[in-house]
Amino acid sequence: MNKKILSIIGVIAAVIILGALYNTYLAPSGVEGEKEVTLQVIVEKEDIDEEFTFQTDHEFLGELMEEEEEALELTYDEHSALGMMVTGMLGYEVDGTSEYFHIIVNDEDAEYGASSIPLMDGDEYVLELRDFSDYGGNEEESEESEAKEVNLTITIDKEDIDEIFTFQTEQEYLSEVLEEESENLELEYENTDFGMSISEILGYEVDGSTEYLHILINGEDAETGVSGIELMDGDEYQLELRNFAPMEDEEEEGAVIDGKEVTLIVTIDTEDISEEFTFQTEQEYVSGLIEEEAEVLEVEYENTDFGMSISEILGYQMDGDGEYLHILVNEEDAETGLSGIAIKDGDIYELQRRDF
Amino acid sequence: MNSNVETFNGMKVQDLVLISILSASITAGKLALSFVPNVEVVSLLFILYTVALGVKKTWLISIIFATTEIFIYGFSTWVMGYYIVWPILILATGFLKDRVKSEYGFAMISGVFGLSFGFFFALFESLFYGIAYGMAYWARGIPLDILHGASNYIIAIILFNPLLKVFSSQLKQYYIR
Repeated sequence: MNKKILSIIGVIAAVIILGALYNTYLAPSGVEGEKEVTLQVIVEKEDIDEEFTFQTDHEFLGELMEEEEEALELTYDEHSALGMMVTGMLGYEVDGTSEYFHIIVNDEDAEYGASSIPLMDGDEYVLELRDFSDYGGNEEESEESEAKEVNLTITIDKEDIDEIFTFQTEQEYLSEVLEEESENLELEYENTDFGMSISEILGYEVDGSTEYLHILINGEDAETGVSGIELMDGDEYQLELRNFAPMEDEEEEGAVIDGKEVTLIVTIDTEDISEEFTFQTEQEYVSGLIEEEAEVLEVEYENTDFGMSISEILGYQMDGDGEYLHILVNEEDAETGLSGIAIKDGDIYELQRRDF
Repeated sequence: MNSNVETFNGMKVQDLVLISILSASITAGKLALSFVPNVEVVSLLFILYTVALGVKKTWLISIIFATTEIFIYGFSTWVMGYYIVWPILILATGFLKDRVKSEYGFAMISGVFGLSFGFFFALFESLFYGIAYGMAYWARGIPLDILHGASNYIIAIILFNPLLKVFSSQLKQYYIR
């Protein structure tokens, strides 16, 4: 037992000796006497950049900050092991999970916390709010923060809006540019858990239940929302108002649910009939339109296995054996029958009587 | 249920239970002393378990312990370091246990480990933030490392033998080899 006690005493003695050696040779040491130092506090995102000049007798930065607690509007945790942990300055409260006050002494990153930084006459101290992710990433950061020129096109077809903006920006993400330029873009938005959600742009109020702003980057569909799109110099971004209607339908079959305006010309050369109609329709196919407008077109038809077959139109009785109605879509011969032609807004359809 | 049914890699159900309980004991031991900086019983328990159960089971205990730390404190570089530093202690103990004749030897292992704890982490931090940061990290923590080493030694010299005695008798009574 005595041996154990002796060894414990020996260890305690060793701790005292090692502690003394550390304090003498390795620990940061302060300088006594009056010193004049400057302290700058920077919180870039809140536009806070204030410089203070202090006369002090204290030996360490932490002591000075405690003394000037009121002027600096300082809040901190005094952790027994780690020293002073700044939790707020000049009214800004640090989010301890993602940011901290980085200390710079005479333009060089500090190696210790405020409690261990010795004050030297004429020294300049900067406390700058930084994200944890900034650490060790200064080179990358400076690259990213270089000015970029990007183009942004906003297209809202139904309001004939198609405006191109060119921005010089140092922001990293598209959402940040939009925020920065929100006044020019007449932008109303919310920052949700899924990123920025735009409710109004260029005076147009987006109806969130049926439409959205589709994003294109250099002509290609974006894979993320505006908050996830990293800006690259020279990139072209497009925000295009679209309906939630599935795109495949639109491209492959033209089956758009919205109202469309189309023109239908019926020509019966032998009777000198040539009439032009303009229809507003929600039908998907030309056959549906003709059915819908059967009265106006004075149409008689049958729906066969091969689609719609017209036997009479505008009072003219077709001779099924020797003639037929040739179909043109935008002045080009149709490749299918009336039941296979998808209606697209602005299309011109022609039905021409022709002999076999 | 037969507790000797083999389940995984030759491990029995009683091994799985034992590993879980012992990793919980280490987490509890750490939390109980967390209010005193760098004074802990984790090192002592890892040494004790390695001596009594061997390297493999104690290594599994350390993996569960480190993972539990992530659940408690979240993911960060120091928690990742736990996956490396505790197995180093376990391996060192496993290597030296047949050569060490008394509690003094184990107290020395624990003390040296505590003393070099900051250095291990400095190496690990250097991988992420560079050598300059690692050096600063280590230098800043030297007083705490000294305290850690000394407290580890004192705790082990007082508690190693009584704990080993109790633990071994419990193993004899309840653990079927």
